[in-house]
Amino acid sequence: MNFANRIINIENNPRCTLECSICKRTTYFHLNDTKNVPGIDLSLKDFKKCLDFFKKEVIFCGQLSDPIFNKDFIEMLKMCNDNKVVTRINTAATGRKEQWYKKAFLANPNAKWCFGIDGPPHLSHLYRKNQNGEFLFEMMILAKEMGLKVYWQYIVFDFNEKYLEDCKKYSKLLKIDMMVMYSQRSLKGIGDFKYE
Amino acid sequence: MNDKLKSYKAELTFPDKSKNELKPKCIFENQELTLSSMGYFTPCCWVDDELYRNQPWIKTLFKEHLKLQNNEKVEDIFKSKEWTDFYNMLRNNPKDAPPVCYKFCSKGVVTDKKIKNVANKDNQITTVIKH
Repeated sequence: MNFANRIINIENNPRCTLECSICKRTTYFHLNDTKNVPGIDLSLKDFKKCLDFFKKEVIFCGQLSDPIFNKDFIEMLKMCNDNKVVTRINTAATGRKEQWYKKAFLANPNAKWCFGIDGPPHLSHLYRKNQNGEFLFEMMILAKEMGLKVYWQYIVFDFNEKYLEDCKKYSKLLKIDMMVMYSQRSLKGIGDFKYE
Repeated sequence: MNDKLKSYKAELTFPDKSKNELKPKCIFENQELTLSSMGYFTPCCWVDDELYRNQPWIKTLFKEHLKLQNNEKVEDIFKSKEWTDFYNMLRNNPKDAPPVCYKFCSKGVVTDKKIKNVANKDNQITTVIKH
C-alpha cells in the first residue's frame, strides 16, 4: 500500500463548543457520562511528521472535535501553505474571534474552508447546538471576501427543509458554492426527503 | 446491553458476512486515512470509534507503539507488523475482516454519493447523500 498518496484527515485536538445531537462526540458523552473526549492537541512537531509523509492533501475535519481549537492551528495552516499541500478545513464550531479568523485566512490563502451552517444562519443552532450561526456565516463571507475558496455545507433536516430553496438563492447571490447534504444525522430517513 | 447502548442499536447492527462481499474503500477507492487526537492512524474514520475499537484487528491498530508521538517517522507506523497484517488480511482473507469493515465497505454500500450538481456563472450547488 502506498499510504503517502492517500489523503489524510487529521483530528488535531479533542475540543468542540457544539453539542450536535448525532455527532460521535455527543454519542461519546452519553455513553460515558462525561463532557470531555480523550485526546491531546496535535503538536507542531508531530504535524511536521505528517507533512513530511503526506504530500497530496490534508483535511482538518474533526470526528469528535472542531479543528479551529488546536492552539497551533494557524501555524499548521501556514505550514501546509509553505509545503504547497492541498488543505481543506471543515468547521462548524464558534468560539474564536473575528481577528483569529483573519489570521487563519491569511496564513493559508489557498486553503478551502467548508462551513457547516444548517439552514438560515439564525436557525442553524437547532441542530448545531451552541453554534452562533450568524457569526459563522459572517466569517464565511469574510473568507470569501479575502479570496479564499469557501463552501456552505447545509445538512437537510426536518426543521430547515423548507428554507433550502431560499438559501440556495442566497448562496448564488453571495457567489458561494453550496454543499447540500442528506445524511443519517437526520431522524427522517434519507428516502423520506424529496431531494431530486 | 444497557439503555444507552440500546439507543445506538442501529450502530451495532452489522451485515451478515456470509452474504456480503467486502470491497474496502481504503484499497479500492480513495478513502481518507485518519489521524485521531489520541495520536493513532486508522484506515478510515469509521473504525476510529469507541463502538468498534475493540473489534478483532481494529484493536491491534491502537497499540501504544503505533502512536504518532512514539515514532520518528510516519512510515515506521505503516511498515509495522500490525498495519501490514491488517492489509494482508483485507486482501487475502477478507472473511476475517471485522464487522465494522462489512458495515461500511460491503460491496454496494454507498457512504457518499453525489446526486446532483448545478453550476451557473455565480456558484455551484452540489447535492450529496452521506452516511
